[in-house]
Amino acid sequence: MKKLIYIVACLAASTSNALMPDSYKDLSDEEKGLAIAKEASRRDDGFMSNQFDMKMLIKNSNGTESERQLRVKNLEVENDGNKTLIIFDSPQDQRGTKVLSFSHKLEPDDQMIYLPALNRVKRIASNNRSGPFAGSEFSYEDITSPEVEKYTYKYLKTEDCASGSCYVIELKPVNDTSGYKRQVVWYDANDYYVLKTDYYDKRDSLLKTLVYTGYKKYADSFWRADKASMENLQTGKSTLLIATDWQFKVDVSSEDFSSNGLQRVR
Amino acid sequence: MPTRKKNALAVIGLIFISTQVRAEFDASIGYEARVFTEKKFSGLGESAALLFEIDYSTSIGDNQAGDAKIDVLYDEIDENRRFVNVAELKWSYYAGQWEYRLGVDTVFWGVVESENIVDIINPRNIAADPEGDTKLGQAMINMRYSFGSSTVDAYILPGFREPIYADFGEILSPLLPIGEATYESSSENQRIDSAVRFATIMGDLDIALSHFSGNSRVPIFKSGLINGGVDGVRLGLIPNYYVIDQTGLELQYLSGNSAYKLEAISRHEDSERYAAAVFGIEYTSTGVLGTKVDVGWVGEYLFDDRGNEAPGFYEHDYAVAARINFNSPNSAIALLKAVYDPHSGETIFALESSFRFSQNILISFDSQFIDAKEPEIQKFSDVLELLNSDDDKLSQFNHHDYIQLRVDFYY
Repeated sequence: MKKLIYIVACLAASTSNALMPDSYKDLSDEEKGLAIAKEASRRDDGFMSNQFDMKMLIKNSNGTESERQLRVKNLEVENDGNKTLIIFDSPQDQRGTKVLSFSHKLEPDDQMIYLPALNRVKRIASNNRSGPFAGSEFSYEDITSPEVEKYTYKYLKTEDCASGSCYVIELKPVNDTSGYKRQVVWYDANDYYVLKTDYYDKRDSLLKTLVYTGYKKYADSFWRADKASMENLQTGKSTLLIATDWQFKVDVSSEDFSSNGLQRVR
Repeated sequence: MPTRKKNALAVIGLIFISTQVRAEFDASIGYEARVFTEKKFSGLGESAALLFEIDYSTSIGDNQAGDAKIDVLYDEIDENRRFVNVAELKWSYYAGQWEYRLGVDTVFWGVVESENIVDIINPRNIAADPEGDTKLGQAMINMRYSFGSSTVDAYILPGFREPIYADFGEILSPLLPIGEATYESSSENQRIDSAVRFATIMGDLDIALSHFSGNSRVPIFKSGLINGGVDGVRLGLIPNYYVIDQTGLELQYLSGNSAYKLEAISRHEDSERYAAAVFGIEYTSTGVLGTKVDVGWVGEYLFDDRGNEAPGFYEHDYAVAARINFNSPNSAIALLKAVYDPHSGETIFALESSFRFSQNILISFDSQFIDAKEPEIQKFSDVLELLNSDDDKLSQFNHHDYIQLRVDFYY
């Protein structure tokens, strides 16, 4: 759920107009893209920790829905990617299943899963990030921390969007473990949160579109969306995430984000 | 003095206010139907069972917790498959790097997929699950100290519950009835056993070292006279529990989509020492053939240096498995598994699969087929010969193939 939290997040902008900062003027499109991604990342620094409840609605092409209720906790790690803990509260046959991921800048992410039926913590080889998360249209790659170093960037254009004005940037994965050829991301030009992402498959055809709505500012600094809707344009399936009860700078202990903590966190 | 008292009261008040009690309750009821596919050979027909599971957990503030997990199984035919298992009934207390657990718990040790030979604290519940994945709760005092990515556990284990086997004549029960257990220890099953384990993570490597000292959780069967039959005594199998010392090692190394795994034990039992190991690889292919399906391929070798003398089935066997995750909204999964003994040609095939039918209903389909030498039982001595057979250990179960459908309803 890093994407909800991270890409999305920005400090309040000091200016209300959406003109490109002077400092971007002389940059190439690649440098401009990187500068915007870095700024978006910088504005989310210092969130320390947060948690929220998440409802996941998975819709098939024929309209059948299945539901998951999750709790998500995030811990900011200095000089490395962040740690995310996801706890399944429903469906009940999966209740108590927990997934812990440590995202890294360039190395593959670390992932551990706690299986309550066996009381077993299993560390998994997670070199491939393109697999679906919990049967949804989100892949592990979509929900883990999009560290700046994981992509190369190119500024495409500035255009009108739902929040007013957006920078449109193209991201290409550095690592071939990604499931995508490229992503096109719309950043709010004032607050640098993400409004929309288009995902292109390896053959470069448009695969999925992710749209964020209901942005609010938390702890005076961090922008978070209430809803994230992922639509698969090739299959007609979709997944809606609804985030509630956002809490920042909560007292999440770093102990919870370990194999030991995975057994005891509730 | 009065001020001090007031302060103390204020402190108690604060503790009371800041202590948040949360409780959660879950329950499920399941129905399990089994069909034995070789009815005409084994004499086994169909059977049905009901399963209940109750799960309760409560946390008091952020440093105390209580957990209870109780399973009940009721089989219409097999009386041994009628039991209550307290898998968890424990109180946990956390104080910084220290954790204390008191009560009954179920502990998992191990890294491999086929047979966790290091996993020793809890006895298995063979009657509930012939695969041996279901365990019986164990009373314990557990102290854990954690530092960095390492943990040290110490366990005091007062008494243990003998593993539950299927009743004589039922699925996967031995050829003779099981009699009363005998123990090497004079305290019998009330002996206070102990265990320690150190586990650490070093980058992509996971290492754990453990030692257990106490009653073996797996008996060694010997044929002899037991109570029962028309004359009050009859020939049966006597389970004998030795006091053992077992040192275990677990290693797992992750590289790309592969996990390399090893479990090894050195065990002293019945005045001899032996070693056993299970090692192999688990490779995960994601998005197989352009679909969303992931397959985890497992290849492992199981070794016991007693060779054919080993009481278990796995002395020099190969295990292969494919764990298929369909990554579908209904969480469909399937595990196909085969264990092959190249000396005897004996093979066990197993399938485990499940999917969510609706938000509260899970449907599982399992089966097991055993391919072994046809047992030839003409006279009673053939039974003994078969039981004492060194390599054709699975012959006696050759006709115990079954398929099983289970439906679980969750509240």
